[in-house]
Amino acid sequence: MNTGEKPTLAKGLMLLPALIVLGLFFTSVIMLFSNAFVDRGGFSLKYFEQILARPDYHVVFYRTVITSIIVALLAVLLAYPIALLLWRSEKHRNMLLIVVLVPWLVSLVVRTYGWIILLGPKGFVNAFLGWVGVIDTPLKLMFNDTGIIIGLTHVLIPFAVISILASLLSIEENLEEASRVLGAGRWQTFKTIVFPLSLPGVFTSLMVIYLACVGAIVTPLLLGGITEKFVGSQIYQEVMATFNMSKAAAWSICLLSLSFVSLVILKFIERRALRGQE
Amino acid sequence: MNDKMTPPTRDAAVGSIHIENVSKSYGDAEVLSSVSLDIPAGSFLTLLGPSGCGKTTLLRLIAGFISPTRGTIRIDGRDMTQVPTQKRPIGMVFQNLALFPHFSVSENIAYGLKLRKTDAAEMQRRVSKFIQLVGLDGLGDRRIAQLSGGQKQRVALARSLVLEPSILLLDEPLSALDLQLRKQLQFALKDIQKQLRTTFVFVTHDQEEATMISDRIVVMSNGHVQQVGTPQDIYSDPQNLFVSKFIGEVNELPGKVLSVGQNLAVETGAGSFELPTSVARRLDPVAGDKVTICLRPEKIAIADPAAPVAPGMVSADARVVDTLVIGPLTRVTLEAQGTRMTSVQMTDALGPLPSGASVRIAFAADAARVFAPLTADLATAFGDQA
Repeated sequence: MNTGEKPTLAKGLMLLPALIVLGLFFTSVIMLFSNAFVDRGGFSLKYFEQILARPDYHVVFYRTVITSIIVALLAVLLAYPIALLLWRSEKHRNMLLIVVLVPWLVSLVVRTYGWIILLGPKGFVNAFLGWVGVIDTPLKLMFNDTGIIIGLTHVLIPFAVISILASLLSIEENLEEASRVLGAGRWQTFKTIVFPLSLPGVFTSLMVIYLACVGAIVTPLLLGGITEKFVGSQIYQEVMATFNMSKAAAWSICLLSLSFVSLVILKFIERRALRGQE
Repeated sequence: MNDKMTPPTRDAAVGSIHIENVSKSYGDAEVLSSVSLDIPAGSFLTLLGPSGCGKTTLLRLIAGFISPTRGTIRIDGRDMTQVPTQKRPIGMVFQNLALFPHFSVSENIAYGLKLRKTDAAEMQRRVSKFIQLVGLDGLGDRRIAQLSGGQKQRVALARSLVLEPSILLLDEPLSALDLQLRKQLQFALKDIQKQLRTTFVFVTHDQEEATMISDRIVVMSNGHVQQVGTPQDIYSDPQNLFVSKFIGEVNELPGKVLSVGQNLAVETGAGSFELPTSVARRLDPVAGDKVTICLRPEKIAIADPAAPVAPGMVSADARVVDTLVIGPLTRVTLEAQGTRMTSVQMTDALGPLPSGASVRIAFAADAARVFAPLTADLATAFGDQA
């Protein structure tokens, strides 16, 4: 009642920035669709046919999906122990969290160049392995799928650490103690109590990382080879190199559908795994 | 289906706890200082004290979540120092209950049995038996989130009891419930304890709760055991001023010992009193000592100022400040030369007491208790200034 008539205009004005952003967003989506589906003034699936007809493009899709799945699983696998450590160390949690997040303060491009220095044929890793005597010829760690996987996993691990940690922190106090009083050892307690209750965080990270990977551009561009293309880097090429906006738009819509379908599948798996948990 | 089950009974000798000189320190802070305690098998013992007194620490030591800095804890004569929690013959109900949210009611109760590789039929039988024992019939398939506070309480109890531990530790399990439910569960707990003859070690800061359910109470403060005894003992014969103040209501008359002879003469703000030396048997005072006379409100009788003082009674002049009738009892607030006192009497036995009326208060000389004043660290428990 005390929010009278006068502030209405002011409130409307405050919505303006958000409306502009939303407007631009929707305009771009509409333009995306019109670019992809319209050819010479009429509806056409021409650009989609161009993409779906080429077997080498199919490989790009497979590579994107499979690499993204590998990265998501790898990142979660590596992040889980880190999250556990952070969860356990109440005293130093904030400091450790900063250590986990520090890479995000460095630009993505710079970080990726860092990996080039480490992974290249004369890079640190190969030099070290050669020096130790494990390998004779340098391993090919870059300009292939391995490089993409390493680069993307590194970039995306903090997401997994944070969301798994959030899940662990939401586990009610004393559940572990309760389990031990009831006769469970530490491993048993982890297996039946802690791990199942941290699954929401695991699924969130899988989802976020998978989606981030599927749309990745910079890392595949810099660490992938010329032939190892991602959907994202393919779109980048269509826009920046061949200036074929319509084909890029068709690629984007394919990517969007791919992400959507993956999301639905992942949600289904999550629902089954978390049956019984609210 | 024979649902009228007989409760599992046990050998009454199993479930005793012996705590010898146990101390626990974190860095420089000693939260428990050489506590020694014998808890007989099958008893219902309550650790009572204000928050921070070390009662929960003691419970966690018995559970084995932490280990003592010094001293030993024995269960049934066996030293528990090297025995991990999961191997101790104990159950525990936590303050926050700690139910597993991703399990149903029966899965929660079956958890411990599964770990012990109990066969399916036996497990089924025991789970349903305990669901019934705690009064949760028909709720076995419910999720924890679908239960009320009292029902969760019962699940936590059943989950521990189904393993038939010889000792059950309860860490303020009722503190989150409303008064009525709390009363109800206090009776249920006592009832179950009697049926199972399990040793219950119950932690609470609520003295009323402690008096109501326990066989024996351990009053604790600042990491020390102040007194161990039956609720009756502790109320009528407290060891010191802390216990006296913590259990029930008490009138305190701070004063000074004038002389110690056949009688103990104490001068207080409300007047000088001659008391038998037995009332200070815990103290052994000498003339000049600062002491506090404690009087339970029900021990202070209100008499006509003109009436003669009966033998064995001590009296003082006072003025009525206020009266408050609470059903069968009446609380009378009095003032004797500036010292406030409370008397609780049967409403029927009292005449009219208008505010400001002059009366004579009288109490049996041996009903008083004389203690040394509280030490500074104990006084903080009551929010008094030291």
